[in-house]
Amino acid sequence: MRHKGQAFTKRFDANAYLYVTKAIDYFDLTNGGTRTLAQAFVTAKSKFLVLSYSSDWLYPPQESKTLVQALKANHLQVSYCNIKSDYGHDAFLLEAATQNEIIGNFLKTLAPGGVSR
Amino acid sequence: MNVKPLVDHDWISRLIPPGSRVLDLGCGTGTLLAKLEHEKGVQGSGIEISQDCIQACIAKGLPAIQADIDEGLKDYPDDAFDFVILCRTLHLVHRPAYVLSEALRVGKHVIISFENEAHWKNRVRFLFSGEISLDNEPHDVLEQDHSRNYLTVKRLETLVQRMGIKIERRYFTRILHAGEVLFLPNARAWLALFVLTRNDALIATSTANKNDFETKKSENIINKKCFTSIKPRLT
Repeated sequence: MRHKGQAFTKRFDANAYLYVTKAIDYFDLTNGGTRTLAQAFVTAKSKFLVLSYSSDWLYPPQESKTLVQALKANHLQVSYCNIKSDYGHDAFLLEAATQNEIIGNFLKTLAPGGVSR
Repeated sequence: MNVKPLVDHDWISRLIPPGSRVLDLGCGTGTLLAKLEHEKGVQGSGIEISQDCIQACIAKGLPAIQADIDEGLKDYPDDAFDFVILCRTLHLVHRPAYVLSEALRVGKHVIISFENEAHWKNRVRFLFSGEISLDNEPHDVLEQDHSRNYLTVKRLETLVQRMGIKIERRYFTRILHAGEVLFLPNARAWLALFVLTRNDALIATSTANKNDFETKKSENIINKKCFTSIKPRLT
């Protein structure tokens, strides 16, 4: 276990992890509370797909729903799917098949010519 | 899942003007939305509780949101849509009156279609077998995860009247024969479709007073007259 740990620190700088974590923590769509979430999307024009995992406590579905609400408030075209999973936040690594299928299908419909029904 | 012909999809498609903003509550796999987009170029979106159905909608390029309509339509402002559709959905919700009021808040018109469970065939089946299940539903309803409202033409009309909602149009059809049922719809109609709208005049008068019921009654008569005069032929 110790050997594994030391080998990992040789090929991976722990500071990189800290920077990524900080970047995620500091990211704030409301710009420090100076605007609402809905205002953050005022200039958006694209179609949106929002995905969440039912057991994810780090990015709980409720927050995704709030995001969907903000997009809806701007009359944007949005789809939302709450993928059922028992794997918590790791679900996006472990249940990639469902996620890939949904994203793949979504991107296909955006391609020129769209989807044939 | 539904083996019977989806005649109500054709009706709805004929009723909706091109380019309308449409919200389909309980949109399933998006069959109706896709049809409306294709035939009428509507700006459609759907709400559905099942993940599999949402995935199917996304694959078809239809914007659909996974949500429980029993929790209301808080994401949507008033009058966000021209039409809100409840196509064979209302019998599956837990709070039909609330869902209906929310639908009428976000939509100018609400279209409801449902299988009339007071149809004479169901009555005969119940009389002889003591079983109230419909053809396309397993008999062991108690094993299902959802409860089911037994919707009939009479029940819906009563609810609508109590809620002070205006009926704009009604269509009824039998199982095998095309064409409308005009006589005794509660017993003879297999499929019913209602187009509803808010009745602001009625809402204003719905403050409890002794004339309240009379007002509703007379309004309803007027509605019926309107309905018969503007009803287009659907076969």
